[in-house]
Amino acid sequence: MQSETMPSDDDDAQTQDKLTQAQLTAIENEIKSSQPLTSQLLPISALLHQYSTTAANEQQQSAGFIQSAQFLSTKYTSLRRVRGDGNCYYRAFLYSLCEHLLLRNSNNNETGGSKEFSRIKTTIANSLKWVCQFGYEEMTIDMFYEELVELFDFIETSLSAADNNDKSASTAAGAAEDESNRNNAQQQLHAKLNEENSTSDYCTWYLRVLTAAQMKSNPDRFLPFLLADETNMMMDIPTFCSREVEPMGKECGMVTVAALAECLGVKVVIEYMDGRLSNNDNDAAVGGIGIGRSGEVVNHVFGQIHDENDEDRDRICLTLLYRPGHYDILY
Amino acid sequence: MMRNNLGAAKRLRKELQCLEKAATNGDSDVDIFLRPTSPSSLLHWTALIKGPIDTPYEGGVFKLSIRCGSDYPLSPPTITFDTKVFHPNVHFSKGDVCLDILKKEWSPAWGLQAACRAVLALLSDPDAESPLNCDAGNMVRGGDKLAYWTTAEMYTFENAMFLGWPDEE
Repeated sequence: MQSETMPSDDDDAQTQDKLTQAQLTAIENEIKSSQPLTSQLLPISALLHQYSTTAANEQQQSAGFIQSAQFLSTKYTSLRRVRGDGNCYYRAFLYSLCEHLLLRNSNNNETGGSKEFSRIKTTIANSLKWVCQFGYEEMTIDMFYEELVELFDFIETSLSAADNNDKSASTAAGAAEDESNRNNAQQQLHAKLNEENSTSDYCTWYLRVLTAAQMKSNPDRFLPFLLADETNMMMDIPTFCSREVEPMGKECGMVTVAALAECLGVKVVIEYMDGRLSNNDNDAAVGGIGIGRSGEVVNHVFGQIHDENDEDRDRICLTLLYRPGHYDILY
Repeated sequence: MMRNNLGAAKRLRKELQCLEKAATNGDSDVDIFLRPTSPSSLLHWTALIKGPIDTPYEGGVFKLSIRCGSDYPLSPPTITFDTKVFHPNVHFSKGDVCLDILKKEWSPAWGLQAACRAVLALLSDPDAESPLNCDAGNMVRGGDKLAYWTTAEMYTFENAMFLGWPDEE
């Protein structure tokens, strides 16, 4: 009695499910084909341009964004867009961190650079054993770990090439060669981090694991920040991590931003641009996160160390732009 | 450097090695038998799972077909039931499975064996709120445990009693 008439309306349910799935896939493909993982460097004016060219009926809504964009144009020179696939915070963090390490070190004037590089490289090199303490199986994560270690090896190789060059860089020709080597390394890094289903995705996921492990390692610090879910029950940290941190494509919130910054001991400055208008100074007093004085955009700093001994450390500082649901890199 | 589907192949080879090692040591998962469908490709696997006790699937052996894309393990595998099963979250004729960890909540920390374990957990604990089989879903949601149980059990007897459990020596 193999009843083929058995399903009554489950084919409908199936069709609906397929439809939403198909729509989601279509959106994902659209994003994939139209946005690179990380864009070329754009002038900061691109930000203002985006809002000032919106249709007239949306002008009202974008007024706050225009005001913020104008403010940011005076503070920054460039912008790098990151693909809006839910991984943008981690991807922006990864790209910006690598770029800072690469450029800082090849610049002789900043002496703290190589110390900072070794510190972060060591933290990463030691991280596999550390994350495995929090319930991750080495078998499933080591490929991702190795990818990040290899990326740091790549940066180190580029740096030591630049270093050798420095020794002969007393002449004008040497300096020019140094400059061209640096550009070359930067282009290679850009290409590497733009390959689909490759370095950027693998390292991005490993950053998620580091973030989750950081939260699990210090529940007293992070648990109070977890918002209640729809059932009004506090989520515990492992549940939060398995729902919101470990899956690819899940956006990063304030808690996770803080956890990743603290895990690697990196400072992250985030400019919050939420589109609210502020017309006079009084707004600042009542304003929320994104409102500062006369159109200023408020920023928040994560990963600040309160340890006195660390004061003199020349720490990496990443600067990111937040707009509702999305992060990009600022310069 | 991870080039395109090399990552998938590398990871799946590791998973296979783990399963083979467990078989040699005699500590395989007793409810799951999982291997590549043919030696020529690591992207397509077959699993046999034992219906959990105290469920209408008890005593049955269900065959699953597992396909991995070249972006596995960043993306989840697709799992379908080859054996017909009456369950709220399994499509009755196509065998598709509706399970959050095989969709939005997938993480590369999971592997194929963990995914099979999640399917087993789903057999024990159906979620009537997101049914792929509305008849089964309505029975569970409507509180008609008996109707659900007897129907599911009947299909288990009819379809899932023919597969022998492989000898892992």
